[in-house]
Amino acid sequence: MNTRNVLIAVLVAILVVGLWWFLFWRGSSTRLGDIEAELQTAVQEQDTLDTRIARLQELRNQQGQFDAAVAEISVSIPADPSEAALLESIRALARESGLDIVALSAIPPAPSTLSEELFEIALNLGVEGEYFRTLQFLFDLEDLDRLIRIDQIAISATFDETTATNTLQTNITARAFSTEPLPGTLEELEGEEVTN
Amino acid sequence: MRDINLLPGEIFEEEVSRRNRLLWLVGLVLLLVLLAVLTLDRLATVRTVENDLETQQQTNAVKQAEIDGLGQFEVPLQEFEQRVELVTTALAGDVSWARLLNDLGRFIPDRVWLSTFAGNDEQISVSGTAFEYEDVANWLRAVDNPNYAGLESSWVTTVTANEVSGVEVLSYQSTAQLTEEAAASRLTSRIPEIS
Repeated sequence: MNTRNVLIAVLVAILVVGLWWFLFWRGSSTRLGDIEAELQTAVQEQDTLDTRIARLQELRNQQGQFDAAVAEISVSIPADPSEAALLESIRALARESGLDIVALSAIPPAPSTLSEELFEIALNLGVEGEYFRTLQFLFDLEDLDRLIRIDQIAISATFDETTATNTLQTNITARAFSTEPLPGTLEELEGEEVTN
Repeated sequence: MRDINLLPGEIFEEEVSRRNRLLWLVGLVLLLVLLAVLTLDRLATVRTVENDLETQQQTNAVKQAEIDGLGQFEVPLQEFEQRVELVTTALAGDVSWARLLNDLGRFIPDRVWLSTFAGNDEQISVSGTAFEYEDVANWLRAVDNPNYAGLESSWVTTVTANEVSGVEVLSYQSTAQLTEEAAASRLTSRIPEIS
């Protein structure tokens, strides 16, 4: 075989391999790369799905706890404004602390500026009594199941010469909350329109 | 010793040509076989990976179906988080007035007493009575005492001489700023822990 024939053979071989590479190998490599990438993504997705399943199973086991917790938190901010229960709670606290309620005003629930889902009941409360009784009332008010937030407080003292004791007149500006407005009010009707 | 070929030259060239053609053919066949093997191997690899992908996708579909079935258990969590957010929002900047007044009662110096107290979520202002200017200064030191962390930056704006039941006293007006320590800690107690 002379050099020319060898050269032709090599060229033909290169041509055949080149055609094979161009027509088959290149395309199959791309396809293989795509599938492998897709497979890798799918494997990673499985990890994500496994994590999600584990989390959901955990949530399933905690469902009772969540329901109980929601019920407990709902006592702090109930759906119903329930002014009757609010008045009873404040009255009970004042009685237990030995304070007199001298004034109380409560404005019907209005949309809160804090959250669209909150309604605020603005309270103004005037109580009268001794220092430690007033303190006790304030501590109990903080611990009250129904959340009452004191925004402003003003205290003035007067000396009672007959009993030789100081009496504090305390005026409290506070807010209680609900997640629904008073039934039948404009706020509730607007809320229904939005829902519809 | 060298072989002596006595065949005519044409026959010899024809034999060489036939042998070259055979070599060509064998080489070509070998090359094609090699390419065929590589092709089949690649096709098998692609098929295997495709099967793996299909299996993986089926596995993921089963898991996704399981997730869809379990999705309902997210609702209590979302409701819980929503309620927590409401309480957190409602108590943002909440001040524990009971604790603040209780501490004030403990730290207020002797020979000073308060007649009015007013406070909001930023500051308090009080009016009080003292016997001497040193007592008023003690009031300021008491409020700024690091142990009484709820208030800082106390300031007496006015002091006026006065007389109570024939005794000379000083009436003063004072303000102080609330610190973060004045914040109520009841938020955590109102949010049940989920274990």
